[in-house]
Amino acid sequence: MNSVALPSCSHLPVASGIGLRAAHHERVATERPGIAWLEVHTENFLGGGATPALLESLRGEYAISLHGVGLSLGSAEGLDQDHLSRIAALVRRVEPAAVSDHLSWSVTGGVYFNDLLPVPYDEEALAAIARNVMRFQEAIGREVMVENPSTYLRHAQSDRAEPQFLAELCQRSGCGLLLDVNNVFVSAENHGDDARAYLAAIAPLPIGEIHLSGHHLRQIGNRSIRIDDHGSPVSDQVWALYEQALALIGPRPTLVEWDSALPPLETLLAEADKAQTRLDHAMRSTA
Amino acid sequence: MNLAELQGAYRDYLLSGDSGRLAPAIVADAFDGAERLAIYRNNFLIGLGEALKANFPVTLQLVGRDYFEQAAWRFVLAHPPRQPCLFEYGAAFPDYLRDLPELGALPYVGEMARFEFARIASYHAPVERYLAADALAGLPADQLEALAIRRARHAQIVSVSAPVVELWMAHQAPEPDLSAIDMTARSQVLLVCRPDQTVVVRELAASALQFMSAAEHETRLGNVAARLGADAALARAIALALELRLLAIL
Repeated sequence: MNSVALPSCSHLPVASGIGLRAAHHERVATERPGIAWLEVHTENFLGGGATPALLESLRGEYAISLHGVGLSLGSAEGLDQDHLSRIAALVRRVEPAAVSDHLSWSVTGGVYFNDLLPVPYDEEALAAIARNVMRFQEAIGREVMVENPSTYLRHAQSDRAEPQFLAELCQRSGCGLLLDVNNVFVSAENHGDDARAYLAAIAPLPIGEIHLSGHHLRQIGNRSIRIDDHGSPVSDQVWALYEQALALIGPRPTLVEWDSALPPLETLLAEADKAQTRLDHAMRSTA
Repeated sequence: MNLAELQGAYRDYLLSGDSGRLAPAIVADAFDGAERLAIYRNNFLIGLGEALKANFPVTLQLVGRDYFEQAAWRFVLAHPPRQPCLFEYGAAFPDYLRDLPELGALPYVGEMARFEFARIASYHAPVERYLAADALAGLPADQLEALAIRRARHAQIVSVSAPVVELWMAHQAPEPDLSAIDMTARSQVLLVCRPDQTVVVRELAASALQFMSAAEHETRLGNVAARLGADAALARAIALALELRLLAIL
């Protein structure tokens, strides 16, 4: 199906997909909307009941991406073996087209913060994360993708930029990259960096998927900061950056994510159509 | 700070709000370290508050959004998640709500939360091999009595004194009508289970409760049956167990 060669971390169709959330389970299960692929948050499907059965029923018709939000690849203490085993069992059951998680951490000392907390970009963190990613890949028997985060702070001890850190992580662990274009924009704006220079630096990496989503601008006194809340349409600036990314990297499977203030399914599908239009254009350009 | 120390400092900050130790590790510019860290703490509290709203949607309606959020954020700090899956988060929330002094006059709030958590636990429980009528029919009596069984993981038992099922049903409507609900206390034992894909709720008779309690831990089918004696109550309890797949074969 794909005329575009993807890196080995991704078997997704080079088309747009949507994030499947609980409020839309029933409609997607019964109406089967015309979309090439669906991505779910892995941790919502680690129960043993009706939710993994839903994925099994959908996987014949849609490519499925399992996107983790809680494995905590950045934890100094290593990965939670029980959590890893549950993910491995779901991967065996669903045989997804892609598996991913984030460049972040969320667990320490047995407490799960359920947030994508930032890691310092230094050698110690790189070694720890590469170790965790390799363990993840061994447990599920395949390459994974790691997503660049939205960040609201920088650590004083960081000694390299995020693209360089990600390049070294891909090189050391053999993982691929899930490029979140909204996160690139949010982080660049929050730190006064150049989002286009970030894309240029990251373009040579094995990018197997792109994420798009909305964010909001929060005013704090006379200053502002961008918060990645997946609660609104993709902004014009992020669409422009996405077009730039496609020109630099080539067409990639592209997901529209929406989590807070989830709109009707139609709105999500319309956003995915907008991404598809840009993907079609990029495919014609590379043909 | 090394990575483990840094993450320990984050944990202390997120749970206490005191950024004294962590802020110096953060680059200060237009925002200082404490301001930047506060964004993460805010996301942490809001994110888990939303997770509790998703797990306790009717409880949320009973107390109202503002009160629920305040209680949820205090609960998050006192009982942060110990597991990565949010559908498993909040087992202690019903008792937390029950013990809040300002909810003392509304005992049904904690009971509703207990009922809602039982629904989620049932919905996400693993599928097991269940005792079925054909297995019973095909086995000689001695083998039947020796069969190793346990109450299925999806079968949750909740004791309540408020009409939580009626309240829950009423709140499935966009504009709940509570006028017909009799709030007089009446003790009930509810079975919350998921025989297939959908959660089912039944009121348990005393004999069925006795039967299900006897099977709470691994035992022999004969031991469970012996608790009831061979009479009509036993037959009804077994029929219920077969219908709703309440017994797992080990």
